[in-house]
Amino acid sequence: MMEIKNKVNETNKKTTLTSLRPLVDVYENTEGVVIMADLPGVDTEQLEIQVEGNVLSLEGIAVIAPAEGAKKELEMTPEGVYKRSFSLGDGLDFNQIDAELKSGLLTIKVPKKVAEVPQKIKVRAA
Amino acid sequence: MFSGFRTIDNNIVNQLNLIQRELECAFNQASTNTNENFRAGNIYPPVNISSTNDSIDVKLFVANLNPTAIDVTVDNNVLNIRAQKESFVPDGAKPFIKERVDGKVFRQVCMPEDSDPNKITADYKLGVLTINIAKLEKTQPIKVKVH
Repeated sequence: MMEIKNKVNETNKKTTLTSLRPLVDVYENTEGVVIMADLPGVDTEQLEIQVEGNVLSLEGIAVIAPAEGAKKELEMTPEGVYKRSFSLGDGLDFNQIDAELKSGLLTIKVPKKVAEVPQKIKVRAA
Repeated sequence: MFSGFRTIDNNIVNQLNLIQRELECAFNQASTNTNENFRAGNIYPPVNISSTNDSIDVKLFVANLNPTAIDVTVDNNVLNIRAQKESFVPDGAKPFIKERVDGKVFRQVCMPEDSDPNKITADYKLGVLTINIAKLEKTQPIKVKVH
């Protein structure tokens, strides 16, 4: 019950916060697709990555509020939710996604399905 | 440089000093915008500033900094922040989207006159660089008895 209440509170918080668009880089190499997103102020606890079909979505709450009672003098980044979605091509293995968050940089690696990775065939000398 | 962050002082000399300092900051910033900061359209990295009675917090939002390559200095009441953003490109990768800014990061903030340049701390966590500047203790007005 408590868990459901926490989930509802979290959802309510997300809907009231400003939506922020993070800066991203997306690369492709022979192994798969790499997505890198700048999410300063986001902790792993406040980060959610979901895959639906071939759409990968990320949402992370930036906990950057000033100290209680402090006066805001300049605010270029409001407390908000970073949101971004990516429509990825076929041939990727969404069950083998690897995600790492380090110093505000999120790196998501989506590998290609084994059949899609070019296989090098060794030729034996006769 | 940020405005609306100054103390009110009726002394004309102090007011003129304040204007002079802000002009110096403006010129200083304008000259630096033409190099390291220019390519990011002068809005990167974003900064938040807040204050309490005791201190000022400057927050810079820059992911993936090398903490050993962050340089914070104070010169003529201007806070200078220089850092290096590490870049990483996966082996043999072809970029589809390239929005992130790598390389040198530079930002200047004019500190208010009641800040104490000798009491500054900096902390880098979760991609946010927080610089705390203590405020000088306010001098109490002295009341002179008239006989």
